[in-house]
Amino acid sequence: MSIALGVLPIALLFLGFPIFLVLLTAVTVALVFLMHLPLAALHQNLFGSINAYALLAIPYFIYAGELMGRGSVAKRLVDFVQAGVGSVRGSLGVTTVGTATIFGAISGVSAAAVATIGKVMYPSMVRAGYPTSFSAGLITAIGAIDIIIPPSIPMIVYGAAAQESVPRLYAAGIVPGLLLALVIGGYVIVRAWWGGFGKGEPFDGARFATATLRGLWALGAPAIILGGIYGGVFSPTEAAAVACVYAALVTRFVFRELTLDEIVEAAVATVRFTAQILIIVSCAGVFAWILTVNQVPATLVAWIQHLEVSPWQFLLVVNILLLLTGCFLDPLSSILLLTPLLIPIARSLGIDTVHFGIVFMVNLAIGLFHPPFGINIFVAQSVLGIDLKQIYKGIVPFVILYLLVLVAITYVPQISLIGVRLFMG
Amino acid sequence: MLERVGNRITSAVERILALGLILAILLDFTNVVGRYTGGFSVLGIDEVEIYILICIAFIGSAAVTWRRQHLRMDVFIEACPVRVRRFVKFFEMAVMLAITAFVGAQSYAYVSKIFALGSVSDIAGVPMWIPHSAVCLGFFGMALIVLVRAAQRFWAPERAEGEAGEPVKGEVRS
Repeated sequence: MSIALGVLPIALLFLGFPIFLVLLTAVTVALVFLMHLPLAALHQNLFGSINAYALLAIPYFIYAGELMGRGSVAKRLVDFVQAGVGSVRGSLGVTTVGTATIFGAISGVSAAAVATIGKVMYPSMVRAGYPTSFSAGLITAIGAIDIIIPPSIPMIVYGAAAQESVPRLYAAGIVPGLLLALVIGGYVIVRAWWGGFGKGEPFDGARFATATLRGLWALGAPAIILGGIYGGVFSPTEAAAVACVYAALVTRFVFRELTLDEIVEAAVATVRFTAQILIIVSCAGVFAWILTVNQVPATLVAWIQHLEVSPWQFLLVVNILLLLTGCFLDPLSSILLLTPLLIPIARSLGIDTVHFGIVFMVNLAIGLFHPPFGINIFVAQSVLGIDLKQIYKGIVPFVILYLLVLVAITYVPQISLIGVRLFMG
Repeated sequence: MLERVGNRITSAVERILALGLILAILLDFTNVVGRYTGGFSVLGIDEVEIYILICIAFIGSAAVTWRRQHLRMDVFIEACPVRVRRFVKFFEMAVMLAITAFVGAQSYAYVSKIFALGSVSDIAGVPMWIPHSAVCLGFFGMALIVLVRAAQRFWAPERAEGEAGEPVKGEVRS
């Protein structure tokens, strides 16, 4: 059994097989050759794994982000944040951080944030005398914040895999997300002051008012999503559906940017991305079921208890494991492969699964822009059109900052849990 | 020719699923608006939305297979010599054909059973063989696509090498 559920999937994964096929092959081999269960269980579990209302939020949030990202939303948000930042040193860099944070509250798709914000901010930063590698590094790294700030697609997948409440996870992501934004924003100011670049324009009340008016419709999306969920008006899935309708109406009738055909095209892109994710969710559901039936998580828990591992040691090992995994695998696949194994151990050690989820997200966020294979690096390279070496060089300080925040979030659970107490009572 | 036909069919399937997605969103939105303005909610809408999602997941996966956009960790295999990659690709196609055809057949057996039983969903009364068929269609679709790709490689290996020879990096967006 250990060959079917351990060696085989790892071998196929390294051979570059599609992740759903890796899981499905392991499951099929285990079911057909090693277990004496009716094969109808295969279909039942494939179907049952995505027969869940909460998972509807995945395509809905992706679609809302697709619609909002196709028009001038990013530019409006940039103008709004920039007008508010005023004469702060490194104002364009701080604007990039602020815009990515707000964009994260609309989209939840990290690569989209890098592409959308990078296109607007990178040329302005370089023109204003910001070092090329610093600008590229900032844009590549800050996009990763989107999977920590709600609404985050990986959080929905984690919620499904760990059977944890998505609103609680979303509430827990707010403070760590803002903490990361503050730390990176602070670093940008210090770096700009130290390097003598990025002098901002003085704050202008009239300009700020105009930018706020122009950005109001774009700012409405996060207000609807977060206000709706924590005001008790909608469930996360309903909030996502309302955000889609809002995004379609605003981009079609207010901004007059998208045609009906483009709205359908955005839905087609959403269908492709959703299918890519959900086929893995479905197969991972069967894989997790097979693991449970064979008592693999229970055996792991007993082994960890036997080793008398303390929670901090476990979290340290998890951080290293997730950082390594994040370098090679996309966040959603990492979540689906590792959550069924790690959650029972975390529970047995008394670690809050919401806090654990946020640790998961920050690790995977780092993996998104960690050299050599972080996907955001390649998105930035393609969108910004610069050399990979420049991006690698620019990323280093941001990797260090993210790691520092990760240590704080890992060992101070209150950073994650304060949001749950504030928003969920 | 085969590539063009495949692309057309895939685009049509994707468009139908996209319209299904928009319909699901509008249904959800109607329920929210109805709850707060008219004090009503249409029962069974949740079920219909979930069944649309299931269709997107499984039938959409066949479209993703055609477009070679499945998520995979291909950094190691990409670093291998062409001959190794070619061998692994053939191996992957053989495994995919066997597994998807097997799962498709199992799904078909399950769908046939619930079709015979005539079971319907709890609230909306949707015949359950319809959403369950999405699993069957999706996996048989994937198996068929692997066969088509294999035929392309056999009849026009140079062209297939360029178009379908190596795994195209998945559209990873997170």
